[in-house]
Amino acid sequence: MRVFNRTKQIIAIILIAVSALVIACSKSSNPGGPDNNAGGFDKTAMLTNYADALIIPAYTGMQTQLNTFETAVNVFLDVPTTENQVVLKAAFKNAYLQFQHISVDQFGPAERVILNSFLNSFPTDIPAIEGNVTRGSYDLTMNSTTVQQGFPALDHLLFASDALSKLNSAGNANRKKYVKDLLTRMKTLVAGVLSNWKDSYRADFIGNTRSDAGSPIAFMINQFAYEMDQMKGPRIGWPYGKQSGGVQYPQNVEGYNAGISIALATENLTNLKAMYTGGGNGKGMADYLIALKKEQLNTDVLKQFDAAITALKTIPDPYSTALTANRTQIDAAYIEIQKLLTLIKTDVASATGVRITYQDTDGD
Amino acid sequence: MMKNFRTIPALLIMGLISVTSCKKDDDNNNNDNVIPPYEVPTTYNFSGANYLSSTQRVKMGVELNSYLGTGNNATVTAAKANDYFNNTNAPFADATLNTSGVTLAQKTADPTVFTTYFTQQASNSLQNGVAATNGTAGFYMSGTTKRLVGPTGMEANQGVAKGMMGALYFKEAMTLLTSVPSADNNTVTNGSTAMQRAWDEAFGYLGVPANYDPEATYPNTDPNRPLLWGGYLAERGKTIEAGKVIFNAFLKGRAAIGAKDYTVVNAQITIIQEKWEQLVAAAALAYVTIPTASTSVNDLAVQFHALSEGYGFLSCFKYRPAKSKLSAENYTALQTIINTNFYTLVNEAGFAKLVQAQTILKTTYSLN
Repeated sequence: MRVFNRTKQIIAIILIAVSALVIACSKSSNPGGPDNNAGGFDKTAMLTNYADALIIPAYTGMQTQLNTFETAVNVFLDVPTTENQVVLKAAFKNAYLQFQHISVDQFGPAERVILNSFLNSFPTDIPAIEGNVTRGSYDLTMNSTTVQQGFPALDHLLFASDALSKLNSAGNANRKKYVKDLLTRMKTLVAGVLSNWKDSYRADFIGNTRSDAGSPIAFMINQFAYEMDQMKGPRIGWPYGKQSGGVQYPQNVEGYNAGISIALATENLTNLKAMYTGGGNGKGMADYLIALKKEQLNTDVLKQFDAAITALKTIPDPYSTALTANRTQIDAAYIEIQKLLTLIKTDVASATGVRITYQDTDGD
Repeated sequence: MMKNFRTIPALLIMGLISVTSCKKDDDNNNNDNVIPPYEVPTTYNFSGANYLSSTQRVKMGVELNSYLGTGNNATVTAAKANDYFNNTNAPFADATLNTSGVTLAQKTADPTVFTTYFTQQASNSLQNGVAATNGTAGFYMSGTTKRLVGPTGMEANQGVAKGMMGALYFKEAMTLLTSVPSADNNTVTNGSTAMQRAWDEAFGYLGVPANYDPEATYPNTDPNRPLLWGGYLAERGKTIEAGKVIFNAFLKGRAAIGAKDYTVVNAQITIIQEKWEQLVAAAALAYVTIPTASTSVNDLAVQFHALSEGYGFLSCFKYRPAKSKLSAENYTALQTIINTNFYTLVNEAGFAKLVQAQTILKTTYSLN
C-alpha cells in the first residue's frame, strides 16, 4: 500500500510538473490581459451590451436630435424672431444634451474623424467665424477649423446677444448659409461614424476582449478618465479660475450663450455613470469590477458618481454668472469631481489592468 | 517517508531540464559538428567584452542633444554643436569623452544632414522669444512645455537626436551584425576575437547597461539607466517586447560565438535586426499617430514635437538592413509624407497623409 501510495504521489508530482511546463511553454505571446472568461465573466457580452444598448443608440439619438434641431433652425432662419429663437433654443439644448451621450465614445470611428473636436471645441473662435461669414468661403474639413464649427459655433451664431439683429440685418445671406453649412457638416460627421459602427467596427469592438492599448476596454476606461478630466478642467474648473490663479473666464463655459453649462455637465456625468454600469440591464464595467473581486471599489465609484452629480446639480445655470454668485456650491462640486476622477483614472484603471495613455507625456 | 522527500528534488531537476528544452528550437538544426554545451548568462559580462567606443558615442550623442535643447531658452551656435560632433575644443562635461579619441562624426552617415540641422537650430534659437507661425521659426507652448520649431514646424534638435539614432547607432549596429558571420573568430587579441568585438560594439550602440533589466523602470537620475535606443526599448517598445527580445538575443549570440555555434549566432542576428527595425517602426508609428489624436488636435506644440520625433525615426529606415520588410516604394512614400510642411500635415482633412504613413508602418511591421 505504502509503495502504491508513493507511486501515486510521484505520478501526481510529475503531472503537476508537466502541466506547469505546458503552461510555461504556451504563454509566450499573450500580453494584454486576462482571458475572455476570466472569473466566469463574459466580456463579449459586456462589449455587445455597450455597442448595442449604449453606443450605437447614442449615435442614432444624435442623428434624430440633429434632424429635429434642423427643422427648428430652418423655421428660425426663415423668420428670425424672439419667439422662434425660444423654440429653437429648446431644440438646441436637446441636441447638445444628446451630444453628452456620444462624447464618451471618442474612439474607433469617432476618433478617426476627430468627431468631438469638430462637434464641441469650446470656447469657439468668434473672429474666425465672423471672418468666414463675411468672406463666404471656408473649408470646414480642415482640422484648424474645429473651433469654427459644431455646437459652440452655433451657440454663438444663434444665441449671442446680437444674433437676432445680425440675422435680421441686410446681407444676412452668408450668415444663414454658414449656419446651414455647420449643421450639414455635423449631420455628415455623425452619419459617417454611425454607419462605420454598424458596418464594421461593431464586430471588431465586441470581438476584442483584451485590455491592452488599443483594445475596446482600454479605449473606454481611458475615455471615462478623459471625460472626468474634461469635467474638472474645461467644463467646470477652468472657467472658474482653477488654472489661472482665480482669474475667471465666464465666456469660456460650454454652451455660454444658451446658458446651459450645468445642464450639459450634469447630463455628461449622468451618462458617464450609465456607461460605467452598462446602463439598464446589460453588463458593464461595474459588473466586470465585481467579477475581478473589486466590490468595494465598485461601491465607492457608484457612491462617488452620485455625490458628484448631486453636487453639480446645486449649481444654477447660467454657469457664467454662478461663477461669482455660487462659489460654495462650485467648490463643493469641484471636490467631488476630483474624487471621482481619481477613482476612475487611478483605481478603476489599475483594477482593470488598463494603462491611461491619452496623456502620453514625452520627456524629450 | 524520507525517500519521498528525496524524489522531489530529482523531479524538480527533471522539470527544469524539460523547461530549458522548450526554448531550444533553434539549436536543433542538424549540426554534424558536436558543439559542447555552453551557458547563456543573464548579463553582458562576457570575459574580454569591450564596447567602450560605442558607449562613448552614446554618451556624446546625449550631451550633444542636451546642448541643442538649450536653444529653447538660450542661443546655441553651430560652431559649438560641431565641437560636440567632432570632439574638438573639449566640449563634453564628461571629461573622459574629450580625451577618448572617439567622435560622433567618425561613424555618422550623411554628416551634412546633421551639420545643416546645427545651423538651423542655431538660427531657430535666435527666435526663441517669438511665437512661431507657418513660415517663421519660433516657439509653441503646451501647458508649461515650450517647443522651438523652424519655419515648417520642425524641431531641428529632434532631427539630430532621432536622426542620429538612425544614421549612427542603428546603422552601425546593423552593419556590424551583418559583418559578424564573415569575421574572424579564431585569433584572440586583447581577450577577444574580431567577431566578438564586432558583436560587442553592436551591443554597445543599444545603450543599455550590462545588467539591463527589460522589466525595470529606470529613473532619470540613475547613472546606469538605458540611453537613446536603450530608453526607447521601454518608451515605445514595450508592446513588442523589444527590450527583452533584443537584449536576450545579444546575450545568446555572444555566448554562441564563444562556442562557435554559428547556427545560433546567425539566428540571433536575424532576431536583433528584425526586432530593432520593428522598434524603429513602433516609435515612428507612435509619432505619426499622436498628432492625429483628438486629444492633440490644434495643440501645435504637441503635434509638431511628435512629428519632429517621427521625422527622425522615419529617417532611420534609410539605414535598414538588406533583408528589411520595408519596400523601396513605401520608404519613399514615408519620406515624402514626413517631408511635407508640418502645418499642412496637421491641417489636412482626415489627416490623409499621416494615416497613410500609419497604414504603411502597421502593415509592414505587424503593428497595431
